Amino acid sequence: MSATECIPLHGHILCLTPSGVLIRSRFILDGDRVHGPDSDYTCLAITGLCALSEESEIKTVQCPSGIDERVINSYGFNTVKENSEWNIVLHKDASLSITRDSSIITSNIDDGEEIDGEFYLAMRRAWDEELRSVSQGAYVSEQQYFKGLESRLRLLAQKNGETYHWPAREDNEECATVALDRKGTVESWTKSSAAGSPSEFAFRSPVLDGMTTLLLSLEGGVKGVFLLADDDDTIPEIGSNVELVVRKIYAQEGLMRYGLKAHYP
Amino acid sequence: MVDVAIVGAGQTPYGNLSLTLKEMWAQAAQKAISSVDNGIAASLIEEAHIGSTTFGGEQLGNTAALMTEHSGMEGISVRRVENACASSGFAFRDAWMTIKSGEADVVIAGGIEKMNDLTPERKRFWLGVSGDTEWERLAGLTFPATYALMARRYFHEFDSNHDDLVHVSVKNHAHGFANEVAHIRKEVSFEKAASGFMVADPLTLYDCCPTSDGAACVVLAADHVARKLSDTPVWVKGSGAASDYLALHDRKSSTEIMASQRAAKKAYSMSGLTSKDIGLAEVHDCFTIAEVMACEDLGFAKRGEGGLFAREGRGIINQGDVAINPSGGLKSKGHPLGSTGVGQIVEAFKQLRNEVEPSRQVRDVEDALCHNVGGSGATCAVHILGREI
Repeated sequence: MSATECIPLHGHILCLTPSGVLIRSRFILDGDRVHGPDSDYTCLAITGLCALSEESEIKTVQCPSGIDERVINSYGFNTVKENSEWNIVLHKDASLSITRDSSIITSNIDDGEEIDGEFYLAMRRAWDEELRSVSQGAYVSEQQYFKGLESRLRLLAQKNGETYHWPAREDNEECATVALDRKGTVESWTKSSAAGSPSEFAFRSPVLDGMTTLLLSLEGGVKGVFLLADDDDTIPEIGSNVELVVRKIYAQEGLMRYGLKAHYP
Repeated sequence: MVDVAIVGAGQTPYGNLSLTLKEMWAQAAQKAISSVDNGIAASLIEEAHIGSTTFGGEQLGNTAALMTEHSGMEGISVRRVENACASSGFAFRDAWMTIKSGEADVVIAGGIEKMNDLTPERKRFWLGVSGDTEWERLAGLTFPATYALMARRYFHEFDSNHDDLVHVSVKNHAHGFANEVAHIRKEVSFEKAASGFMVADPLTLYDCCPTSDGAACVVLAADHVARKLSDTPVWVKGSGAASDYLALHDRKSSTEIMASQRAAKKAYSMSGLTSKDIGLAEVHDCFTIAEVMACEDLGFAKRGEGGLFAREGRGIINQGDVAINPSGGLKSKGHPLGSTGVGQIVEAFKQLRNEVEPSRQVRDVEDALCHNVGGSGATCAVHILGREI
């Protein structure tokens, strides 16, 4: 099936059809669609599933290799190995289809934007180096990362009366758990110099010329800090509104770590 | 209950030193012990509380035991105290409490950090480890960036802008210029400080303290011993300590440090003094915005007027309301994390005894305050010292 209408979503491009969705990166290099600086198939898949879930509840989804199923699960989508309601099919380029019958959705719409080739390759190299890196000090273990992933991706907060706590406090087990809206208002922001970001970002920060972090006010008076997505070059302003989208945060010891980043819609 | 006094104080210079951890500690301890007016043998010291974050991991475990064995105090009860940059402020408080409890009569408090013998890559892994690793660090924050968030919010909420921070930088460099133990003994012009390299927007290089090596040590004694050991003891009149949420985003306000306010309230209450009685204050200016907020949190300026306080020069030695950071503060004197808190005490001790360089001696000072913050405000220790008890 060919999609005839596409819209921007989460910094990607979403094409809705009666048989499912096509999600593509918005970046083009030498005529090929390529992933954005901090995105991959897992990030695209979550955007597609979010779009589908707006239409109706997603009961199950099957993920091919190349997508981190644990991230899909932590975001709130139920993955299965077979007999799924929805199937994710990766394309050869930075696109994927999510359909019931594993069919591929295409689109002839020319909706990409050119990405600088040197920048793209430098980011690829940086991610590769980062994936091989090991900690020499500060450290978030794999166990700790996965324990916090659901709270990180779904913004699971504890509600105690009118007070929200996010991330959850270990001593508040009797509180109700609520998922906060993935939208925020900028309370403050900063851009660290290339040499000023934490070591986990040391390979990519020079390529990006520093990294931007926002202090956001979220639903229920909760606040949080989030990186600005690498494909968003907006200069933030206090009081402006952002959405929180899934992106790669950093890689270490062979494990890609995902989280929410701020993105101007 | 027993009163406690400081009878000796010493420190290494702060800077990029060629001394090892053991050498730095031995030097600081020796200076502290030899500064006791009527003399004291190291063997008379009963307990040691040594603050350090053990930056770089050289001696993560049993740090204090290693230090004391290199300063003639082997065999005594020791422990390392860790509360990030407030480690030795808390070590001092613990030493004070040890004497207050009656458990010991002569105790040392110290602090030490070696930060400049690491490769740049390894150093970067250790900078910022006192923030919330899981939630702040992985959102790209180290401490310059965290304080930059505070600064931008402060400018948004109050009548203040980056020029106010430049005034802090210029003042502290002017104060530190005369301090022979300061890391950066260089005066800077307003124009130069205003146009520094951007580290974390809006904070420039001139808003940030250096990473320093250094050690500091003080000898505390119970009143009945202190009066024998020293003709001019400096009394601990108030001690307060508090904590707050580790991560900035968990706190209600990004423009004040509640741990500072809580700790100061306790210290003022214990001493019976108010901010108006304080003649000099060593405040934790890891970043210039931190001094602006500290002046408010400690009661020297009204809420939202810390910037104005800096702009009007009200913290300049012998010119303003109160001498803020006569040592040069962390900005100029330097910031060897674990050493900073006791280093502030050393400065206050010497100021109260008229023992610093004449050009930066605060005149007619009776009472001093030391304010030591851990991380972006998760911990804070405040001490008030005076010539008389």
